Amino acid sequence: MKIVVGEWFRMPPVGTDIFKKLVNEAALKYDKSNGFQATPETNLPLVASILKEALHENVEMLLNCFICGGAVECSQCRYNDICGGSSAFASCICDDCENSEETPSIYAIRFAQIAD
Amino acid sequence: MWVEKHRPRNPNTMIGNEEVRLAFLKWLKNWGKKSKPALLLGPPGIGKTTLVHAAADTLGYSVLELNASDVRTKTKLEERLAPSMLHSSLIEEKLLIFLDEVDGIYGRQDKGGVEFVQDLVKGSRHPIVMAANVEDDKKIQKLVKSAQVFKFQRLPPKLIEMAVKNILHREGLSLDQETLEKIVRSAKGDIRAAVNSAQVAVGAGEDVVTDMRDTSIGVVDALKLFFNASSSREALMAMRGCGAQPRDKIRAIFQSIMASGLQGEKLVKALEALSKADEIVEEIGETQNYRLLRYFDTILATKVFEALKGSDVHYKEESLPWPLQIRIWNEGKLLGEISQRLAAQHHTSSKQAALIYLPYVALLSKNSKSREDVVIARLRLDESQVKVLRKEELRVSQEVYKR
Ligand SMILES: Nc1ncnc2c1ncn2[C@@H]1O[C@H](COP(=O)(O)OP(=O)(O)OP(=O)(O)O)[C@@H](O)[C@H]1O
Ligand SMILES: [Mg+2]
Repeated sequence: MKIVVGEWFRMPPVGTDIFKKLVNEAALKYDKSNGFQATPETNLPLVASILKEALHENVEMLLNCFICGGAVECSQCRYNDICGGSSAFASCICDDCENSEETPSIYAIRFAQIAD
Repeated sequence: MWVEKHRPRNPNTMIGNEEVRLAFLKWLKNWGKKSKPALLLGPPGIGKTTLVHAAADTLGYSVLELNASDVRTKTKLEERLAPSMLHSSLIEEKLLIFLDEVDGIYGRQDKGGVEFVQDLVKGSRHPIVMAANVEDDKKIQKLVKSAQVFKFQRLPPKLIEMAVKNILHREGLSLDQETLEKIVRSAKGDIRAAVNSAQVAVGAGEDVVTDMRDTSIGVVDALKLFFNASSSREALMAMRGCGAQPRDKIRAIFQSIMASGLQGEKLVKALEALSKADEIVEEIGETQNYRLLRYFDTILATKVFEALKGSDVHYKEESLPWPLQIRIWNEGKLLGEISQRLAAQHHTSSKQAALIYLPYVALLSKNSKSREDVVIARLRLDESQVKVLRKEELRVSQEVYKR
């Protein structure tokens, strides 16, 4: 199962206990019409471990690259061991974008666009 | 220092915490007299202070910044800003009031701090922004209830790497990938730590990074930066970035001051400021309130730094031409005993204690009766030892003041 941080997603029924754990302990956001969403408050590693146990499948966190919008796979990141997506809610940058000298400027421009 | 030089002046050029950054900008843009104050919460070195200044700048606000040392007690706070003044319409300028590091505000002496801030906030004609590291503190909790809270997280390692690389690039320098990764890893989401380490690393080669403990720079590097700092803020960065024990910082500064031949009024002022910092260390020891460490660094960077302004004090290692050394050494048993107790307390050799701590402790005691009481109690000095201490106080202060 893949979860894109910041985007709404759904999951198979997990039972009340697991649901409570996800929402109360791991601060996963829930909304009847939209489903679930990982927000800045969410404890991502905890979500991953609860779901892994409940669904018996691997849970992968994905982020959207702030520069190009492409997927950033946390599990492939060299810093995954110290970050695990936990500090990088909502935004990080993908490997392709990372290696461009323009990236810092583009990052700033992208932010300015959203801010306006 | 790079952290100062490359501090983002515009919210757009910061990294991480995008949503919160946007939300804060929106808050300030839409600010009205009915708005709640903003409270920025989050770990160190991720840009709370930077964001407030950058946002204010781009939206045309002047910032009236009060830090922990201004606002730690209610009285001081009132000295700096009378609420009536801020509530009056006389100030037409677009002004943002920034209470940075509010977690440092409240010493145990002070009960009215929170209430005062709350009064201040009521009906303020200016946006009020507060920043703090913790939220589990009871007093911060009180503020949380009446504020709009913006929660910041540690910065993603990849973005830190990007930003550090960018700074290196702008400096026309580079670091190999392995070193860079080490720096980013040890920074643990704190970009200030990463930038400081990178600056040290390019200056001193890779060795520095390898035996760098945690994220911090050593006391020697920190002090060099401290004494060369061109502003209080830079001095603060230097102290913040250094994970040395507060006593070691004090001692090193003390030694450097004494070795510099600073004289008269300046010397007295510097030592008085240093003793303020020392009081905080005492308080931390007694209350185990390690949060005060931040306040301690602030004192060094404001009071001590200000006192040293314009004088030529540099970092000096060890052995000062301290005329007292020999005398103390030769002075009989009683002084030796005091030194031994000091040594135990400070975890150093009794020689070190005699050379460095004793004169210092004596000087502090001379300047303040309450400090003397503390020293006597902590070292459990008996009557005859107290007498020797007093003698020593006189001697040291004469030595110091005649310079
Ligand atoms: N988000 C950021 N983007 C780019 N640079 C940053 C960012 N945050 C901090 N810095 C750099 O780190 C320095 C210190 O940041 P700042 O003083 O704003 O941290 P802070 O969050 O207020 O920390 P503290 O809790 O210790 O006060 C800045 O001068 C800047 O160089
Ligand atoms: Mg700050």
